[in-house]
Amino acid sequence: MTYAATRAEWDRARLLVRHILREPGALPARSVALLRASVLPQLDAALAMLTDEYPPETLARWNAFLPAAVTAVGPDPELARVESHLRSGLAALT
Amino acid sequence: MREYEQEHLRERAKPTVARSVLDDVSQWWNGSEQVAERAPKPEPAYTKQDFDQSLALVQMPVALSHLELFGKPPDVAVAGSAAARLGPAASALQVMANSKKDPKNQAAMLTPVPDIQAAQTTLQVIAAGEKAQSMWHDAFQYAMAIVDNAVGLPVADPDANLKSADDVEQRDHDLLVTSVKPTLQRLQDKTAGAPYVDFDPKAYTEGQEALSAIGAVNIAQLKPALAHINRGMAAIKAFAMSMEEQWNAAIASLEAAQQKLSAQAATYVTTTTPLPQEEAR
Repeated sequence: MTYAATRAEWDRARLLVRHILREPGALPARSVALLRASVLPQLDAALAMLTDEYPPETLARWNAFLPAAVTAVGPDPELARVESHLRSGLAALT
Repeated sequence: MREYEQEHLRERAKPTVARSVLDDVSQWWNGSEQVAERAPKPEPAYTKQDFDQSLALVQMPVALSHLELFGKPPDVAVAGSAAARLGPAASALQVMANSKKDPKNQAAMLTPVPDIQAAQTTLQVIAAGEKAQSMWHDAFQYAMAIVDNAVGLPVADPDANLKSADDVEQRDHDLLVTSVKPTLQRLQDKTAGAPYVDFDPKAYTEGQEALSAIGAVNIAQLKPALAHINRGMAAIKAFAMSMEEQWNAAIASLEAAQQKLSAQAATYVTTTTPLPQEEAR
């Protein structure tokens, strides 16, 4: 399985996170640090799992926490978009 | 009245108790500027934000890893996936701790980090298999690079009026050159070869010697070197175990981390949740 739809959604989410890191705007320093040190590596790990021949249910189980992790970083419209892409990627697995 | 008694009355000290309104308020315009000083509000050890972020960014990946390991046979792929999730979880806790001003609150926030890192290192060793040696080679190399940087720091002049924050004491510089660097070099040389062939991973002493040597030096910049040496030693320790033992050690570390995370969260829940009888009122 290639998980093309999931990969596309999570790639977009990753791109958005990198964009937020470049221009954090009014996002607090702690949220920016959490995005850089925790959310982005978790997203990278999620994308790496897509190439490891895991069944879709295993992928869904390992990555189900990602949307909530992004929401917990802070209230921000761009982060809401990231969360939406992550949810779409998870939905494409089922 | 005698002369000295009259003099004593004239030189009487300022009354400590106000006798009139004027005595009381004259200080307001004759005295120095009075600024209201409020006692600083203590920083809360654990806030709702900490609770939410810890739950989503730390407790979830740790619980997920535990769920995938517990009661299942050792699996290299699962170990790799879990290790990849635990590093960012520990980093999230470090970021949260760094945002605290009170060192006590910082330390309390960091208590689960060693357990998460221990589980991560053990799982990385399982996932790396025979390539695990590069983990401690790299760790000790990073430590050596940090020590080399510290050797290059300017030595403080005891007679100088202005001192740079980066300056190191002559004693610490000498210890770095004569003790820390050679000890770390010995550790690198000893562990460079194949385990059980060139060195016994259960009986080598150079790791502890290097830790002691760094501990004797008072240079803040060396803290990451300690962390790298500890990580390398943890990798060697994990490598010396059987796969079953490694798996169980990772599970035990994850459980210890979960207990500490729950204890942190409990401090927030107990201080914010009203007791049932209070709620009924």
